[in-house]
Amino acid sequence: MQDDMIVDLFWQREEAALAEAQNKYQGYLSKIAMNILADIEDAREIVNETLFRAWNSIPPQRPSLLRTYLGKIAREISIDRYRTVHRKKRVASEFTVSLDELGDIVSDGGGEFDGRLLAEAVDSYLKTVSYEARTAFIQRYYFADTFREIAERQGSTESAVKSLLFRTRRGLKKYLEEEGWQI
Amino acid sequence: MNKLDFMAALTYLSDPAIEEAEAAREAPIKKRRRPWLKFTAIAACAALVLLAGFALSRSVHINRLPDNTAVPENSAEPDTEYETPLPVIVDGLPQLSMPSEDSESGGGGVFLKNGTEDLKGAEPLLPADIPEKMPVYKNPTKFYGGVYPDFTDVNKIRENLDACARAWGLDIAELTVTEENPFSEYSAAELERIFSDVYGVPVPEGVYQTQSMSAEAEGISVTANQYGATVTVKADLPEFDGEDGFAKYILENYGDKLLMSAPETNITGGGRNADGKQIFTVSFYEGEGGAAERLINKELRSVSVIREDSGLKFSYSFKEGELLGEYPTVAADEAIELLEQGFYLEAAEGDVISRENIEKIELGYVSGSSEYWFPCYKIWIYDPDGAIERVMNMKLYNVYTVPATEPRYFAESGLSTAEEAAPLAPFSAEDIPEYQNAGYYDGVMRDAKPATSADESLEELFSDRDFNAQIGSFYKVRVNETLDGSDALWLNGYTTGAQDDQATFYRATVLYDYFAEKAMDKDIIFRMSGSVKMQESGSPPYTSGDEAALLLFRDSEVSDFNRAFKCYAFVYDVENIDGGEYLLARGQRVPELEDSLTDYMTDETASIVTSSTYNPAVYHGAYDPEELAQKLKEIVDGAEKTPLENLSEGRFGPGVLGFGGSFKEEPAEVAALEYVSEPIYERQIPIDTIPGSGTPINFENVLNDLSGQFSGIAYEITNVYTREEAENLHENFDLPDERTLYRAHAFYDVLNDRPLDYYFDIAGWGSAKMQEDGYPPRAIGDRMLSFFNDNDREVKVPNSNFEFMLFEIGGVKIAYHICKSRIRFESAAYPNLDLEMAESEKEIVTTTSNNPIRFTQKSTLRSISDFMRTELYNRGLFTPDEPADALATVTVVPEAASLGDEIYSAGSVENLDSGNPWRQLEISEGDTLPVYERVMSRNMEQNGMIENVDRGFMREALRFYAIGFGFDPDKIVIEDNSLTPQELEKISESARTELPEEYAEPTEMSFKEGGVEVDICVTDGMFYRVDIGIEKGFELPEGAKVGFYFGASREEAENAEAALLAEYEWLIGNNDAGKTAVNSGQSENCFVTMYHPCVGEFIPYDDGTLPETDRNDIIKTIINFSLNNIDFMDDGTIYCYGIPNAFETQYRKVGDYPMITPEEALELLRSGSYVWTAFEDSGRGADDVEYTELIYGRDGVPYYKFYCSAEGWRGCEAGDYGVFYVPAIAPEYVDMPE
Repeated sequence: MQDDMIVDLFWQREEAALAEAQNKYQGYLSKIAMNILADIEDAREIVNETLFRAWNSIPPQRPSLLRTYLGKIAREISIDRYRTVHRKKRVASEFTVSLDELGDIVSDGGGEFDGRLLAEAVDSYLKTVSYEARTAFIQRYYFADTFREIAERQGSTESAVKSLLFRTRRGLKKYLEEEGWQI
Repeated sequence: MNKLDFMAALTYLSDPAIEEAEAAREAPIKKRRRPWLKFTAIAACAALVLLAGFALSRSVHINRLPDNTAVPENSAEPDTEYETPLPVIVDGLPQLSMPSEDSESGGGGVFLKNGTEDLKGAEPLLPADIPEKMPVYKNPTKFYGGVYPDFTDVNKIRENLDACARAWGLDIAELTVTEENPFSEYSAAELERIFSDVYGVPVPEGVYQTQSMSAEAEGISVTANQYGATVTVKADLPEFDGEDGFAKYILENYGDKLLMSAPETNITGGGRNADGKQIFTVSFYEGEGGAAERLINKELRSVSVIREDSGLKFSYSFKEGELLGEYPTVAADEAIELLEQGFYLEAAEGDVISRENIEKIELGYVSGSSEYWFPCYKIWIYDPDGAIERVMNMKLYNVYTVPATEPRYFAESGLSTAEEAAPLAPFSAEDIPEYQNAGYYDGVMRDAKPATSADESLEELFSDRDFNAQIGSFYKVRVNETLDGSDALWLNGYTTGAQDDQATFYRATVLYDYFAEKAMDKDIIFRMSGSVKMQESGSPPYTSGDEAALLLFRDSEVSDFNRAFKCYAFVYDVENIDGGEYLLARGQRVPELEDSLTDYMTDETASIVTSSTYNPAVYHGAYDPEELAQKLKEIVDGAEKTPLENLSEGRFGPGVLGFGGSFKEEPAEVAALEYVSEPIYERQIPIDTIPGSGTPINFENVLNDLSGQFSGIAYEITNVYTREEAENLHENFDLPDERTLYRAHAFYDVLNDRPLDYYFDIAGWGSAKMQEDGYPPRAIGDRMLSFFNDNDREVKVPNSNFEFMLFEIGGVKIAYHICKSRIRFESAAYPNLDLEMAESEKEIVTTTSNNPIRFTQKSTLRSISDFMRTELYNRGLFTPDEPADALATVTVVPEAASLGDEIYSAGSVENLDSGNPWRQLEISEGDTLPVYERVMSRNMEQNGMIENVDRGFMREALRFYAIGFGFDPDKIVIEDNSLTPQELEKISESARTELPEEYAEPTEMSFKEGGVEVDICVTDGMFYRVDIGIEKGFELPEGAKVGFYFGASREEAENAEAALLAEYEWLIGNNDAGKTAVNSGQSENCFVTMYHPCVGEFIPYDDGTLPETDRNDIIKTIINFSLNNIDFMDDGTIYCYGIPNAFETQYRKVGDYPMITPEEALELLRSGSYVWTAFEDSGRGADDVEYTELIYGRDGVPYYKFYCSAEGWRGCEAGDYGVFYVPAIAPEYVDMPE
């Protein structure tokens, strides 16, 4: 079923919307959750909760890109879950590995900040870099994809991707500092 | 803020950015993973190369010279300019593209409790019964991101709404219809940003149009879009006996609302959600028609029904695509092979493609929002994921969608390259609305000649020919290929004539002998009236697949090759009309045949538009083939035959049609009709004397008649002047009607091989008047190569014989010769002077005209430049500039010069001292250093792939390095997984006959022996790279010499060397990337440098450009030291990477440039003229330099490399060093970046 039809079902409060969305995006959402949490049970719950939140937010929302919309919800919930789980144990996920790489951007200090404004700044910066750098950055730090996956997609090597991401992180740090972010 | 906060904030990244990355994740072509090598497989490289080529071919205006022209790396990357792609034709059918995602499956696996037996679904057409051809449709709307439409058919939406409303008994006239567009919630700026950033196109009109309409009456609500409609009705529903009971109930109670004459039930699904519940969908489709038709109905035109609390929801699908044609299909077993080769739509997660785990195959159609709707196989593969089975107690299946249409029709298959595909662009007035529509059929035949009245008998028509006596045979033929006119000129024995441009040459198969009434299967070549030039006169050319009837003369039946093309026929198009076959007659009416004309001739049949042009053929009547054949045969039989030997040669002259060569039964006679293969260059190179006429002249004579000096300039048109503007600008210049005045920017002197940078006015050949002869005016942005003969005037007038249009295809600059007859070159000195041209490349529509520019020859810019330079020089028509002035400016590309983010943790400055012998180089006044440039590409940022991967070279290089490492040549097995099946077959054949050891099992491009693998690929758009992996602990063969060091210090390196491979010679170096991630905690990587014979010599490798002297030996060593290196991974595995190939093909010497001293370079560093890496913002500079050496960058330019302490910079410690580069040649020859 096409996305717009599924969204229509959400708007019409048809429970078939949940089944259709789950049928279509279960794999996609599970992948996001699994990359962050590395736990299939958690991933199942994340998918369910994602759809529940979508049910409560559509309407009033009318996402034009349903996949992205659901993916963002799943990612948000997964990271919240990660915070909880991580306090008790180290989560052996690709997300954890990618998190460590952010050490050269974030100093684990500073005060409160607006995540949406920060994302806008990151967005602005990513527009200034190459297509490869931009997509690699998002694949790594949004989707928590592995270096190998990214390298294969780019027809590149893992070391080249690492280097590319290092340069991108470095540039991002510089950009954020120039924009006045205390990170 | 902590790292997790930062990561959480990324959730709010913009949708377009995420979608773009997601699109890249879901690139349609999967690359085969290799278990051990981390480097890109050749197949992936080749696929990207082909994709780049494809993208270029579709959008010719994007791909201009010069170097900064972007070449899309893959289909997911948006083009940077807003251009409408030209359609590409493959074997007479439009080329297809794969959707970027499988919109039907959404990318998830399917959970089944009991395996595929859980699945249900009607299968009107089983895979085993797939027809040889099935229809493919084009989605009338293109959806960006699967959501944003480029066009919405508002009328169609209303039609759909009305159809459903009527079905449910609503009064259309009384309905209040509401129009909706959810995209109206977006601001114009937001839409602009989405489309510009993500898709690289302007916001399409469709986004602003009505997307759906809805109406409600009598408790029934109807909502329609252009693909269907949804009807919601209230109903009290009984309990049902499963999905079958529900379907039965719907048929009984609502069957008349389904808009079908014989609805078939289709209950699909059976997969389970995370809670274990099975999900089914009930739908219906039209059951009338054959199996294939019913499959299409099921996939594109069905009605699904959903139960709701208060009633039912009917979803009607009315997908009506544009039928592109019947495409050849692949069988199910072939589809499995394609799946294994990675040719499938991205669908399920995971890469477990295992033939033995295939449990179900079914036929369907890819539809949804994809650009094309084509048949496909849905292949269900069990994914034995233990965790899922254990935790969920269900089996996971991945569903892969493989096109059932032959892969060669897909651009992404790699089998349908730009070279092979045919962007012969059918053009329409709508495509180029601003154009004066002088050459395009718009319903009015502008130059139509009325059918000649039947007032001349055959005898009168052919008064000088014994027509009746000479008719030989009457054949039905199918056109297989249109031959290039200039190719046809070389068909043995053909004599060109003044009317050649009114006819076209074809290869064809004779299908049927109308006289003998028997089927035939013979290949012939014939020349038929009708051409592009004649299309507005009602005589367009035929295209592949067209069928025609030929009336041949007797002498053509017996002609030998010296007497080819001597036959005649009327022109009949074979058409199936209303189930019957008719011969539609073009041209002259014939009294003797008037009685045989059928009554069937309507306006419609009189203006059938052929598939080769949008101009229709004009017919004077339609014949029944059998009746016409009988009539003609009566004429033939009643005539007295002239003995064949009395038939004079060439009596019918040019302008008549016929076929070449003997038409006897022996195939060998036909086979002899091949092109003349002997070289003709030096003897005669034909060029049109009359543009577009096809009449050849002698190339030598052209040059011999000229005097003075030539120049050759590549330029870009920056302005197109009107004739009035031209007159005002240059009062003393009389601009001919055939030419147009342009402003142009000269950027390359092809004869002196140096860059230019100035503007001039040029009166180029071609104008509005000339557009229908293949010389339309050029457009702003077009890049041209012209040659000028002694015209140092205010307006340059190029020699119209030597005009080329320039394109960059896959990083290679290509020059297309405009409109002149093809020049045949057999000169081995210029192998790329006469490249094979696809039909598609021979005509390109410019933005100034919908009449195409015609191309007749294709060369690389390099080859045509070198050729013309040599030819003109040998004839005294060109004198090179003084060598001193010929040194081109060297453009420094920081990314190419630098080796990455270079911070060296050497521990102390002493450890920076290496085996680099540069200090042995004494520097005196007048000393020079050689500078090289990459032949393939000089711009790493483009990351474009090299278009033409020379696999022969790769194999040679592979073998070279293998032997260098001491492998036994007899044991080397070279495998290649990047080859097409055809190429593999070719290699296999070669292996059987010539190279049995090397090519015995060609499956992968690597050689293996013990713990070593080698992989060669094209990488980073720069050069062929050889990656050599050596397993930890593998003992290198005796004689192999490897040097390396671990860690960050010389001491560590020496220790490592002593511990591991002390017996090998080695040089410590510091010219590699150092720690790539000094701040990222990845400093475990170790780097080494090696220089030894086993990796071969870098440039100049026996190319003669660096003579054997002591000084040059040092320079060679510096080059090798700089560019040959090895990388050890932290697990002890060795990766040699970045080893430039040892062959001269990748680099070309630019010249010997004056060398500067280190002190002079330091001054340049102090003045800010340097190339920086990660270190620029350190605040360090010339005064902080602690160590210096001379190296060559990967751009082939020598640099002084200055090391400064990095202590305190971004966490660097004492002993860490950052670098600056300064070109080691005189700065006046260097173009430094901003």
